[in-house]
Amino acid sequence: MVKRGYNILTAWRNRWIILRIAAIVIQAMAVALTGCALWGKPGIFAGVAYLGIFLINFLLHLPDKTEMATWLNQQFPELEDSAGLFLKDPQQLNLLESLQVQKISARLALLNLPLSFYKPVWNSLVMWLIAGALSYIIYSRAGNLRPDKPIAKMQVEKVLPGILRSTITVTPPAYTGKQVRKQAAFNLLVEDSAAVAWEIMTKTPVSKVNLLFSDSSVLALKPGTDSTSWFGTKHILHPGFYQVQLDTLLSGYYQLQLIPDHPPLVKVNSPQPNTTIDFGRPPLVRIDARLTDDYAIKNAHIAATIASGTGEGVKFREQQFNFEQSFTARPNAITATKTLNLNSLGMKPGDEIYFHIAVTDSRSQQTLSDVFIVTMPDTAALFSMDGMVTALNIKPEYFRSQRQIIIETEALIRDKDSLGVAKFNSRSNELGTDQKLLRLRYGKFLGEESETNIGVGQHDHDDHDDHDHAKEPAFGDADALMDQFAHKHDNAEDATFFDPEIKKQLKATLTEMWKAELQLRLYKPQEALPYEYKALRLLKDLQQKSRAFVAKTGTKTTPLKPEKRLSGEQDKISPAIMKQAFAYNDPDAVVRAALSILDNPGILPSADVRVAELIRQALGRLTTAAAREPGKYLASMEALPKIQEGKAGTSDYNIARQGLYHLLQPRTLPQPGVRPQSKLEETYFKNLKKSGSQ
Amino acid sequence: MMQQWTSLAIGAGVILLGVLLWQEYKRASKHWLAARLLATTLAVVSLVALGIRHSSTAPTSPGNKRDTTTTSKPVFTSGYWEKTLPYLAPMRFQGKYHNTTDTTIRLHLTYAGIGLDSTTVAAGSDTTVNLQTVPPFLGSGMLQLLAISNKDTTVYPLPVEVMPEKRISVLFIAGSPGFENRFLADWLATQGMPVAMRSRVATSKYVTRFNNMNPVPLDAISTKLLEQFDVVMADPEALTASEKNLLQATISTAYKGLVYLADSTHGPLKGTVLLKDSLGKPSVTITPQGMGRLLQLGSSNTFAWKLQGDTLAYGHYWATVLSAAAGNTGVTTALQLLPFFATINNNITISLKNTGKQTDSVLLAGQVRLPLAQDALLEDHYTATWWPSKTGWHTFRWGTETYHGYIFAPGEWAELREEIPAGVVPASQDKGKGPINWYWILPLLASCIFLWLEKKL
Repeated sequence: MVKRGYNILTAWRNRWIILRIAAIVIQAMAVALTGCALWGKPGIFAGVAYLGIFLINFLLHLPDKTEMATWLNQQFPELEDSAGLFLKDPQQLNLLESLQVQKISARLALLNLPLSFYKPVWNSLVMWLIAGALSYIIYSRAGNLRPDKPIAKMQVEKVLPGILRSTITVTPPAYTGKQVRKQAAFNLLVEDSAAVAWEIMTKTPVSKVNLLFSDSSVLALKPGTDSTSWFGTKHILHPGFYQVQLDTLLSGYYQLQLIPDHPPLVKVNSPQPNTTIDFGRPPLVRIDARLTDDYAIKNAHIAATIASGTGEGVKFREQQFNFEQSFTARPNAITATKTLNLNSLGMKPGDEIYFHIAVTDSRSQQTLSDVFIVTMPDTAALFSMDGMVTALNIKPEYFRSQRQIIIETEALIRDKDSLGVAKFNSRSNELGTDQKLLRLRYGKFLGEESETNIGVGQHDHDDHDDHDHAKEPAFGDADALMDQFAHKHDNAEDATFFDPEIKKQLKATLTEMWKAELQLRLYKPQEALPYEYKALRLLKDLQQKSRAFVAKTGTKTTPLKPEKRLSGEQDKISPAIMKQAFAYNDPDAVVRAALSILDNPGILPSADVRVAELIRQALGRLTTAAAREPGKYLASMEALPKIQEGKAGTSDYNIARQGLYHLLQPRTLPQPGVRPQSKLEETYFKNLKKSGSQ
Repeated sequence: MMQQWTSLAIGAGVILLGVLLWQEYKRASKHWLAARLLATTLAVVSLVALGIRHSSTAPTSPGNKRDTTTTSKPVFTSGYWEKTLPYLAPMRFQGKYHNTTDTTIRLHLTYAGIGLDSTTVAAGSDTTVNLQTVPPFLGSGMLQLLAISNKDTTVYPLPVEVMPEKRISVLFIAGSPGFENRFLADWLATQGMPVAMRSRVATSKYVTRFNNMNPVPLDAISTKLLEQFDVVMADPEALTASEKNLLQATISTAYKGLVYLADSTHGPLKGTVLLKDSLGKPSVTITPQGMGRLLQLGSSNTFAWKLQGDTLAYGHYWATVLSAAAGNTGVTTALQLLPFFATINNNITISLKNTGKQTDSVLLAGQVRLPLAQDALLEDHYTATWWPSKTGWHTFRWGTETYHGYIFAPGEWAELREEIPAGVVPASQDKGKGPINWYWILPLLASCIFLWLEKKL
């Protein structure tokens, strides 16, 4: 009786354990599925790890039979808290106990396990559903993000079977400031001039181990104590590829890519390439430049040349300035600044300073920036009439006005103390009026609205139809002044015969005049002066620009008229006969023909001599290219011989064709069509002509 | 819908038959049992047959192209490209794509997985597609057109044969020595083209130049001289009236091209526009002249491009002009497989055109000897019938000539292949209203009468 109850109890416990293990396995599978969706195949290990952890944990905490009995007692009241009796030895039961066992064992046989017993499995299945849905979402999203191009897979490199282990130590050169690193893979990506040390352990002793490089140099590795470990070092100065040779056995090709060290870059934010510091402005030049390098910047400075004097009396003086920042930390990017005080450099109006920035990187590669020019214009030169009167027929009074305003402003500033405030303000205001008039005159050129003004009063626009040019214009009458050089059959809007560049500058001039006028009206002639000078300088520039230049063009001689010219005796003339033949050879024809062969997989490898020769030549081209750019062409260079030997898969064909395709140069050539003319057309045309002539 | 109705009718018939047979079998009187069962079965079968409409049994034709546009699969409704191209000439694919899906489909023109050109077809639209590239191979090769919707990729093969490089011989007749002619002659000569040039320097004195050819007297322009050249580049002012007439006459009877250089005295360019300048004005025009062509150029300072280092633009311009001028010079024979999508295990017509001299009457398709039939009306046209048993490129030999032709696999370009065998009428479009088979009423009535009579007797 007790035995039967004990058996049932054990069987239920075993079932419970199996259910729990099944639940853990299902959960692990769900985790693996999610992992797979997230990270691909390696994601399966997440599931394996889950399984390991939870299974071990579960097995370590297996419930014993007493716990099972307790659970039964809790679950089924009809057992009357007596399930524990089944675990006792039947001989040791007292009378009451054996009676109780008899009573409940009959009930136990009739009991059904509750649904909650299977709960872990249901829960796990729910987890499965969630994981499945999650994976589907991740996968479908990943599908949308899939790149267009087939990703060029990094091929798993094949190592010679005789090699047990390899350690390659790359020591980057000092200029990079990088740490020594070790790798096991033979494909190398190293900095320019890096030292690479190979350490190869072979499974069995070998007599020699060589590294064969693409530049046909050979590095013989030196054996260690036994003949199973080999060492060798080489400085890598140019890219290419190499092979490992064990005795006579040759490995595949390994890439040897170089990371070049580019010279530093300079980007100057300020000043502008051509800067002019107008009179009255602080003579300061702020130099602001962004310096970058791929490793480190060792040093940077500003090399300046100051030119003073004019004509034959010009003198040059060279000077070097350091930036305000220090380069001792060897940054790889820095914003360097420096403010030059031109006065303290001894520069006077009319002088110019030319400077460039020189940056040196940790490998002592130097980059020079463009040359920047800062000019302090000579105010005296602006007043000179040289060139103005002679070069163009200019009416000087329009330009003199701006000069006049400047002279008067300066006189006003000089006489400020003796004039008294009211007089001073009134004269400043008058100057402002003059400035306005001048601005209006120039505004006419831009088609700006005209304003009639003070000196003349309201003016009728319509009474100029008679074009009375002889009449002297009244002072301040802008329209009358305009008549002297503008032909007024049209409105002001059309008086825009300047090109956009000139108009732009004219506009800038007007802006300066505006500002000058503002300062004058505010009784601040001192502050108006810089604007007045700038306006004058811009006007002078304008005057230079308005000169027309005729661009040079290619010459095409006019055909000779034989009836008029060279009609004399020509017997003695024997014109030249040029004869030349060019040895022409289309360099890409070989590659193109090889591509066609690769497009017909049936042809290789059982090909005829001509095809084999074509492939050999194409391989030669690929080898040359692979030595230059191993990352791009090495895979193709390896794939092509495989195709020749008939050991290639579809991907090898594609890799070989991609490499060859990239070798092609763009080219054009006139070629006739490929369709033969139809006899029908010819006959038709001939008959047409026949009937036409009849 | 039709299918559902049919299965419904059959299901109901089977149940009815079961019930009736059981009733007949259970009847106390076992008189004529077998005959009754048979009659019952016949009656029910006839009834069901009357219910089912005939059209469900009509054959569906695989070549019924219109049907494909109503299915959910996106397809090409037309597609064409030149299967044979001159060296370095672009391959232009033109087709109409019907995107029936609700996502944008991208079409990529690729070679060995390298994208060369692409376009997109918006969801639910029917778009004309133009893709082009210069095939990288010389000889027969394969470009691919990929139609990529969300996850599905359909591959369409584009077999192309690129013909070997040919030489165009050019004669220049210039009124004076000039940069334009000189640069062009240099460019052509360095690419191995035979070039001859005559530039006038005095009344009857010419500077001549010959590249990649033997010197010939150029003082007088004659038919014999012109025979040696494919294209003549002439300065219209440098020609006398008689020379002009001779040139025109030669061009119009001999498939040659005449290019008139830019000339300020002429008015606007006449003829079909071949090239436009950046302002959209015609820059080069072409006019057919009998069997030949006349091209007029609008500008004569393309050498400036070369001076600026824009060699590629210079090359494109002159390759276009001279290719157009040369036309189909020197081509005497061509082979074509019909239909356009020639498929394996199908009847293929090999159409051969030959204007030259060739006497062999048998065409070799691999090892198979195919007799050629000359067309009754067109003497230069031959045909042969062929059943290819392998897909891919095939080589054909005829005398000394070799041709290539591509045979498609059955799944390739399936939507565009016409496979309607002769004599098969495409099925009627309105499937729903097939005629009812009234002749089934006879066995039904007969069975019913028999069962009724049997009970009475």
